This record gives sequence, C-alpha cells and structure tokens, in this order.
Amino acid sequence: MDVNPKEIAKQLIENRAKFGARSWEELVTVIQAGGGKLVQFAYDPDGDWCGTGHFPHWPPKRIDELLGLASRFQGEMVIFPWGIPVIDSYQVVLKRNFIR
Amino acid sequence: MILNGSDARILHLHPTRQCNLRCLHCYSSSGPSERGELPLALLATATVDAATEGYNVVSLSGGEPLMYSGLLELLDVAKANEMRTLVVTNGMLLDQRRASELRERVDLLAVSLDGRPELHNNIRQSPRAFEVMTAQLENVRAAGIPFGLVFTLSRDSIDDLIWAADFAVEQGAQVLHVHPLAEVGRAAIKLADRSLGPGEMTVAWLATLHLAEAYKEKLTIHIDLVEASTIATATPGLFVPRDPEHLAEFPLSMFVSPLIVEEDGTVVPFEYGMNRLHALGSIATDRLSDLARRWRTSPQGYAALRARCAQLQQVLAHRSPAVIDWYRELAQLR
Repeated sequence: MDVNPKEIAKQLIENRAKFGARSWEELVTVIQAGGGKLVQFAYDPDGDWCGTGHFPHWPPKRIDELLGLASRFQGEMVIFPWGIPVIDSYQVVLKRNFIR
Repeated sequence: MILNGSDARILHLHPTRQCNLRCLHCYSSSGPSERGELPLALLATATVDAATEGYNVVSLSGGEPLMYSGLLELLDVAKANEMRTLVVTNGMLLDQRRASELRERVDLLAVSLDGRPELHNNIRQSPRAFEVMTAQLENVRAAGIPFGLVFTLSRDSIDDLIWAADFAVEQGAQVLHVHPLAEVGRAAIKLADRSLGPGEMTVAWLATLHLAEAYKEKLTIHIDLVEASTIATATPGLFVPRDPEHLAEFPLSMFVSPLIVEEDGTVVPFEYGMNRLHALGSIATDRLSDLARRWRTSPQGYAALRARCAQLQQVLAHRSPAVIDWYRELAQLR
C-alpha cells in the first residue's frame, strides 16, 4: 500500500470539520466493530470523500453495520481482495462522489 | 528505556502547586502565589514504600517541580531505590546549572508544549514562554538529558499537531506525548468548551497513529486516547481476575499504575483529581505502605474501584464514541 502517513494525518486534521464529528465516530466505530482499521482517508474540496478500511477477514464481523453505514452516507462500497496468489486480507473503500 | 510502557509501574508525585506560570489549562490550578509544598521526608518515605510495592518509575510534576525545594534529594532517593525518573516541566527554568544538576538524576525530562508560539504563550499567559523554553532546551541537549515534549491537545491546538511533531524532531526530542486537554482545575473556567469532542478525539487519535508511523524512525509518538473497543474487550491490569482473598500477596503496583500523590498528600489511583471516594488516604497521616495494605483488602478500597471500573467498562462497550480518554473517564467515577 503506497500511502504517505503524514499526508493522511494532514488530511484528517484539515478536513475534520467538513466530514463532521458524528460521521467520524460512525465511520471508525463501524470499521473497528468489523475487526478492521481505517488506513486512509481523503477529502476533496468539493465534498467528495474516500475512506479505506483494512480487514483481515471477509466477511467482517457485523457486516450489516458496514453496509448500513454506506447506505446512510449515500456512498458506495468497493471491496478489494489483497494478496497474490492467496488472499490474506481485504480493503474496503467507502466513498461518496457528488459529481457522479 | 520505557517510561510509559506496560512494564512501567509509575508513582506520580505532585510535590507543590507553586509555579512560575499560571497556565490557562492547569488541572491543579498552580501558580506563582501558591506557596505550600509537601515535606521532603514524607515524599522520600512514600517513594521508598512505593519501590517496595513494585513501582519502578517516579514521575514528578506539580506545579513546577523545578521550584520544589527537595527536588534533587527526592530524585536521589528514587535513584537509590533503582527507580527510573521523569520530571514534567514547563522548561523555562532549565538553565545550565539546573540542567547540570539533573543530568545524572533524570532519565527523561518531559517539557510542556501547547502549540505554535502564539498559542503556547497565550495558554502560558507569558509573552516569552515559548522563546525561553526553546532557548533552555539547548542546555538540556548540552547536558545530554533525554527529553520529550508533552503536547496538550485542544480544539485550538489540534491544527498544530503535525507542527508539534516537526518541532520535536527539530529540537532533538525522543518522545512526543499527546495529552488531550481535560477541563478540570483552572481549565474548567478559562478553557471551558475547548477540549475535544468525541469526533475530534477520533480524528486526533487516527491522525496521531499515522504520525507515529510517519515519524517512527525519528520520534516516538504516543496519545492518551484508547479505542473504546479495546477497553470493552481487553483485560487491562485493573480487570485481571484476582481472588480477593489473595490480594495481599500482590504488590500494589500490579493493579494500580499510575499511583498519584497530590500536593496535599492525598493518594489516589490513576489520575490527579480522582474522586475522593477512591482515595487510598494521605501520606500526611499514614505511611504509603499502610495505606496500600488497607486499601488492597478493604471493601471500600480496591474492590469498590474494581467494581466501578467493571461497570464503566460495560457502559463504554455500548456507547458510541470510538475513542475515549480512559483516565478522564476513570477520574469521574463516582
């Protein structure tokens, strides 16, 4: 995963108000409840955002909450298997794209 | 050297509320007009007793510990009992002589930082606080004393978090310890509503985790926040099932760390300002070893605290915030 953790920290801090306190709580709580962790978050000035969770197993625990979250955020969820040739973990991207 | 890892069993002493500054966020409402201090003999005896109870780190705070008349002797007592030493200071009094005196006595200096210079000076109510503190760090480096920065995280300083990490690296700090503002003491009046809300805590926690990864080759970064899910599912030392009949066989440090001695001599578990319902007593009237022995086995002592903590654990397991300030939650236990 080619991510710059300092840049992620900057994104998180700078955009904390735009995304909203309640949304942060929900996002992190649901990812953690599923046994995963939030590994990346990006926010565009136009309101689009994209958060990536990393889960060791699929389906994650309490997957219904993850799906419910995507629905509540009016976003979409994309699942990437991770590992070649044997899948050893999963990335889940939750994102909202207003232009779409 | 680990001063706050799982093997660190910490005795945290507040010998005085006297301070050269009157910071807006001070949880102990310390300041220049405060004169009282705990006698050295009391704190020295308490330190020896604590070593017997398995504590291996002495942390000195205040007030400004560099203004405590018995500081050097107290550090010598800690060292004589093979304890590691930590001094939490605003850094303004660390001149060459002080730094030289502390060189062999202090394992880690923790210097307070509240944000960029303007915010730091505003919080410290001193227009030169940042400038003087930064200049004095040169004496600390020259003396070869390892040091870290303690960054108070609030709604005003969260935007300075990355700057603080860069500043820590630039200054040669080994540790950046991020501590969320607690609205207690003077902060309850002067900084009401400036502590982080649940969402901001989540952001700060996540950002700090990423910063810790980004700076791992240069700096150790720690934040005093924990995932609620960890508290709900883990078994921290406090919750380790232990047959109450055998509690007397275990040193106090195995189930209470940090142990706090406040500036009036009151001994409390975990956090300055902890509800007095859970106090062990006072070293002004009893030896720490006697307080520990009684509190360990009294129904109003460890057993009551453990029961309340277990209740809190259950509450947190069903509460929404993903991240919590565990010690602040404990301090508010009734």
